[in-house]
Amino acid sequence: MSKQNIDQKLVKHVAELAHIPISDAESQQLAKDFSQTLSVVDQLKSADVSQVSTTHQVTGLKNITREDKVVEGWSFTQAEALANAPHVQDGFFLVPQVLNAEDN
Amino acid sequence: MPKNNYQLVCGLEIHAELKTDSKMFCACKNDPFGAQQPNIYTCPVCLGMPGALPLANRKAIDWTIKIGLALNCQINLFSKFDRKNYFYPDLPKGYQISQYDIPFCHDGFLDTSQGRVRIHRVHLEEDTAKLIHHNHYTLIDFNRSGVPLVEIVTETDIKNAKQAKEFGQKLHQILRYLEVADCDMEKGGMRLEANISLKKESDAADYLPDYKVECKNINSFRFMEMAINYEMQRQAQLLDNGQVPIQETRGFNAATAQTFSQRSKEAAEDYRYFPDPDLPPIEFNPEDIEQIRQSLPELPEQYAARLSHQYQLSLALTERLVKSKQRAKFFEQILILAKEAKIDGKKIVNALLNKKIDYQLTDEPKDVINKYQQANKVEAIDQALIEKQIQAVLQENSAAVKKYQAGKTEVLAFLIGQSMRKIAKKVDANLVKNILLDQLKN
Amino acid sequence: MDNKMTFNQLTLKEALDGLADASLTIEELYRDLNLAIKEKNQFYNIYLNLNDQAEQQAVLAQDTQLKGLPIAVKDNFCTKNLPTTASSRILENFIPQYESTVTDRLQKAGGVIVGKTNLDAWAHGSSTETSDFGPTLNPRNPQHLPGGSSGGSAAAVAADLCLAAIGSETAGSIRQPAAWCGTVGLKPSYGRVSRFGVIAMASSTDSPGVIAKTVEDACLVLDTFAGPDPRDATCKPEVAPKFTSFLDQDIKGLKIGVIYHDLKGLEETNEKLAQELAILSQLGARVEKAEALDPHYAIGVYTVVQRAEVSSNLARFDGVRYGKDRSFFGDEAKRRIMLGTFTLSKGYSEQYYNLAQKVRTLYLNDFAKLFKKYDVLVSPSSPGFAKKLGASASSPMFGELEDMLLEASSVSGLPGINVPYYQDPDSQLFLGANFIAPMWREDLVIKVADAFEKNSKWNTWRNR
Repeated sequence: MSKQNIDQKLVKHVAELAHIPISDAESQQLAKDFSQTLSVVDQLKSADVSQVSTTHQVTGLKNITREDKVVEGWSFTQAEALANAPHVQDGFFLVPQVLNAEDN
Repeated sequence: MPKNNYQLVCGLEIHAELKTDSKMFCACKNDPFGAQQPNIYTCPVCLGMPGALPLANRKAIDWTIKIGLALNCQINLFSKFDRKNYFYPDLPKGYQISQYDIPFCHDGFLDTSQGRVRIHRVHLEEDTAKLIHHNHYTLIDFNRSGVPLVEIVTETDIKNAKQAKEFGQKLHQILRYLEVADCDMEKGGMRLEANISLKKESDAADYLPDYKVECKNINSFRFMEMAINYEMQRQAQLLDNGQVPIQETRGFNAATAQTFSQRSKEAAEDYRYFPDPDLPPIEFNPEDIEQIRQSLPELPEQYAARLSHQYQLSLALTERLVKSKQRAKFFEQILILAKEAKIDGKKIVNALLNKKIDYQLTDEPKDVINKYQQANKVEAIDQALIEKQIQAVLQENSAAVKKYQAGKTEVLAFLIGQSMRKIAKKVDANLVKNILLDQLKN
Repeated sequence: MDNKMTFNQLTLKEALDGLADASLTIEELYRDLNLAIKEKNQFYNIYLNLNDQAEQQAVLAQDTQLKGLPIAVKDNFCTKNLPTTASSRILENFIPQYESTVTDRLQKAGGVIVGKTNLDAWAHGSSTETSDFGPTLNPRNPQHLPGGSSGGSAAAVAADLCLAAIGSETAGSIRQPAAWCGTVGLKPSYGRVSRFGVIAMASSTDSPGVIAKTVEDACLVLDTFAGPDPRDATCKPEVAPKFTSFLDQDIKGLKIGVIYHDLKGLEETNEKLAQELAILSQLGARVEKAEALDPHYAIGVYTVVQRAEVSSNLARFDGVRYGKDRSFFGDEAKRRIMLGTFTLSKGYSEQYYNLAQKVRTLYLNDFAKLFKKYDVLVSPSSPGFAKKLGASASSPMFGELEDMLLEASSVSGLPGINVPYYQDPDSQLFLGANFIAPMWREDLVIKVADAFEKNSKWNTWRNR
């Protein structure tokens, strides 16, 4: 299998997807870090996984659900909800920027 | 007038908020529209606070199965929740808990007057927060964040805008019959989206155009019909000019009855779906599904068919009677009681529908029956007495009789009138006429 | 060094007994503790924030299980009205309005939170050097690192600045710093303890646990908070056993498999371990070499799964509802988020994420096979002694390489415990042994670790 070509372009694309602001210098360093990490990860490709399927959870638990009931003790007051917000107005969280007015 | 003959390629995506008491993944109150203040029905989970964990609402899951069964779907006995990762201020965790490759329900259908619309899938997810846009900032209310949301996706079987409207209305009716959602369009309880593209009639049956336009934020069935019709025209014009419509999201302006561009969808978003590690999978036994199937109420289509068959009424009529479950139950009671009282079911139903009798759906059906009977009281007929009375009339009016026998048949009306006066009860005028004619012969 | 012992140098059990028979008062304990904190905390950089209500709370808790004893809590556990930073600039000013289940139960049982300890930012690391608030120093030898990510908690125990500490492990973050600091580190099975309120790292392996002076102390603390939680769907719904009931058990006939015994570079570490394991043979256990799946694959599994899950878990930090915006993420966090995003992205998820989850199954199967033959497995917790300050900058994969011996059991969710088995007379640094058992079998690791500790000379507090 060919080695993944990690270039700055890919790094910038991933940074965009992940909403991580990075500078050009950072994207250069990150490309190097990525390559180093992926070369370790690539060891996985030599494992024989032909007989197994993925494991996403190790507990084996199933059907863990809750009853449709309001639990007051688990909810916040409005003040608690807003307590750590940098910007609030009239009980709302405030985002100081314009977004596309396109949503429900 | 478009140059080419184009065919609509359209699928619908409908979201409905479930009316559970609590939210989908937390125990906050599910009442975003009724909240008096913003951000009063929140907790660490639906606010996406550090360390918060989701816990799935069992009822919401059962209700999703109910919806799937009502739409003739297959149910996946093994299912799970997946994370749909993207960033937006109305999405507190930076991902939405939804379902990716193993939705609860799949491959169902709903029949319309223009044919069958196949349902691709029905899945369960959580709603986002509400954004309020201002000129230089946006306000966010998380009361709606985490409300259970069912998503119903059709195949591209929609043939025209009218059918889309009918489908939407039928689906709305079914969801309300199931009592799992209020689907109040004005409150955002039901949201419609249409994916629209056109292909030439000469294209192969399974050909799919290489673009699609997503029309969102349509809050009535009428507007959806208008939006689809407008889109078809707009796209036809572009295609006639050799252009391909831009793949994008468009909104609908009710005032101008036109769609408008909102967001370009050049590349499909990369949601990086993976199974949510915080939520163990859901597994059903076939018996569980059967139990849910048994709990389904009679749905409008079956209800109308049954009433039509049981009471010899036309399907067109019974479909009007079952528009809502409350209405259906009311009219069924009327028909049951009418049968017992030997009243013609069709007559009384028409009398009610034509507002000849005043009634409310909340009235006691037996009171309405009484009202009808009072209005249509028919007294018992004593045939022998009537014959004697008519005989007497003829004796008292020998001059008229002689006139009739001389060929002046118009005097019959006078004799009928006299007879009705003498009888002085509500009787069928035809009956009186026949007895008179009979006696006049002799 | 003052030879007179102070009350903060007692074990948790000794302090409980002392309070019970009135040979010690809670005020005296906190007096000594506060002096020690004043003396050492700034230098070792152990606590990021201290609870100024601690002593008052302790005095009021005398009629409880833990009698107000001082417990250090890793700063990725949300504590109501006490700052919780995850050692990141982003949460520098974050004060949760809710309590994690672990700290809620701990406090209800009478444990008092002394303060919040330093960690690698977001628990990303094995050194505590990547904290946004400076590294913590190893109390055994301050030129060295304490390990991580629960380095602050391990150091708090080693420096006697608490009587026990809460930590969390995603792949080594309890056992490795415990090993580097010469303390006990108990990582329960995944799903044994509620994760509600623990700032999520890798959701499918995060396990809250205890770092303590003795195995007994660790059990006493774990008993207060393990068990089902309706707020965590991945927490086992069955009631947890009393972990203290597994102490002082006879280990005759117990089958112990020694794994990773022939790994390159670990010769000295393994040799010393083999020597010490003779203690267990003398107690009647059967100790022999065992062959486990090469731990190198586990590095890949952990690297991919952890980064994928954390890239999603850290998406909530956008500075809108709390904290600062994403530009305040440190370098390590940025690297991990981006790599995680990459391995989940279109075109790559099959060859990275799904592949890693398949190799994970290989480890589950391998352990299942080994546990048919052995009751318990053992290996060194760490390839060597605590590294020097600055070591973590050597490679973006520093943490994963250091945790290699622990990653397989972590991604499999197994319970594990670190106990010290050697101290270097010159550097004062320690080596620790990692005992692991099948899922839900904390009883096995506790009983063997307890027997080892009580019959060896390496526990600082039992061998004063």
